[in-house]
Amino acid sequence: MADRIRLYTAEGIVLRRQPVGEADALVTLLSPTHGRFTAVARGVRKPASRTRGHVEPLTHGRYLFARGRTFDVLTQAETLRTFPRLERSLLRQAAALYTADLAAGLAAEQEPAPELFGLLVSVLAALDAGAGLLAVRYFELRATAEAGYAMHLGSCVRCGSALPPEPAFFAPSAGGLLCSGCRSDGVPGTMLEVRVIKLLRYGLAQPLERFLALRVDEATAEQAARALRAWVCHLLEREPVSARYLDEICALEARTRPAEAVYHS
Amino acid sequence: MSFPAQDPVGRLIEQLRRLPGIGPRSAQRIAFHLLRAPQPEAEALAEAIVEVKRRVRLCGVCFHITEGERCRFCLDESRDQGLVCVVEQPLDVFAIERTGYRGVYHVLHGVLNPLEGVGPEQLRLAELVERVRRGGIREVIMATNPSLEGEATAMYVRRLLEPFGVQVTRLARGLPAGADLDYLDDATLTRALEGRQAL
Repeated sequence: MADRIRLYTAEGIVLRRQPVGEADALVTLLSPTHGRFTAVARGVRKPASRTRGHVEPLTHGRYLFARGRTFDVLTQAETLRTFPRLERSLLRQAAALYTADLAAGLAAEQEPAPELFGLLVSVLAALDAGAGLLAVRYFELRATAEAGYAMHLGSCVRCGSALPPEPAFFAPSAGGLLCSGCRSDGVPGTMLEVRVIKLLRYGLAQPLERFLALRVDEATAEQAARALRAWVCHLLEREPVSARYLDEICALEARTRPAEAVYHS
Repeated sequence: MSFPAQDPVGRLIEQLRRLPGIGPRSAQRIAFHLLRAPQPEAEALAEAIVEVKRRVRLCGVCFHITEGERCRFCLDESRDQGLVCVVEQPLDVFAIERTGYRGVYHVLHGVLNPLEGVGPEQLRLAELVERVRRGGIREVIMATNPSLEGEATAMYVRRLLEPFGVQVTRLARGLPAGADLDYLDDATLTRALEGRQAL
């Protein structure tokens, strides 16, 4: 019987909208119940379209779909939440788009993803409320963990031995930190300062609000950013498409604003 | 049914398939329509394509399409050369022209689209900055679409032009003519309320 149900509703966040045909668009959503999936929204690029404003990227809405042969068809839309202040900050908007891009890369197609969805909503809300790039670091840490690839930071990922409170080698291909005995030459990775390791551990253990309340110096934030970027690229086997844009905007902001304002609220 | 790529019909179908919005079935339909069409009609189409590629180029100032070095808007001295309207595509120029606008243009040939990997270096942004740097421009109107990408581009341009002290404005956002309030999204309604004017 289930196969005969043609219509279904799903809550979701629009991750991407790509024009197709004369006035249609392919809309990729992340839904708590359906994971990542793509549907076609017909006529949505026409000015008179009633659905147009509801399928902008980063819109959280409730949508009605009709099952189709190649793509399901989005037939009705209702916005539940938007993040309007993102449009007023180049940096926070770039950060939000990067998180959406990352969510699209990490979420499995048609697999329920309530945790990843909840995480994305929280991080977008935090960015909308004025959070800086620390929110992005939190998303990278937790979204990869939700996808089943939590960074191993508590002990050596190879031998399990406890790590002394000193800089340690992070090897994305190994999945976490390596002790000096297990680190072999040629393994790609980077040394992480103790305060960076503590920051990453804190992010894996604490809720977003506590993580964002931290005050992190520029060097720590930069090193954490590089480690997390390497981690994400390793897992996706490519750099997220929006990463270069985020980096460009960060560089533009850094020229005119203090680093404190880039990383924190 | 598929046609060999070396076959004239197959080649035509293959070329038509490369056009935006044309799938394999549409390409076949158009190819067979041209096959049935009178010879002069098909030749006129082919000549028009060849001519447009041979004669039409981008204006050296604003990057709108033109047949000469500069487009008719940039050459028109009766237009306000200190007022520059920045648009995404050449087609947007014709839309703005319908309003009676008397300034000049700058065509970006796209918008920033981080999710599709379109960055600032792929747009005519450096040329806009150079144009403003040379002086004589007092206002830049950002007329990119009211989409996430259009807003990102407008914000980016504002940041780029900050050092030059030129006024950067944005087209108003709000209700489209004939709209039904009940169907409007929150973002549009919020912008419409923010931009309300005294009657």
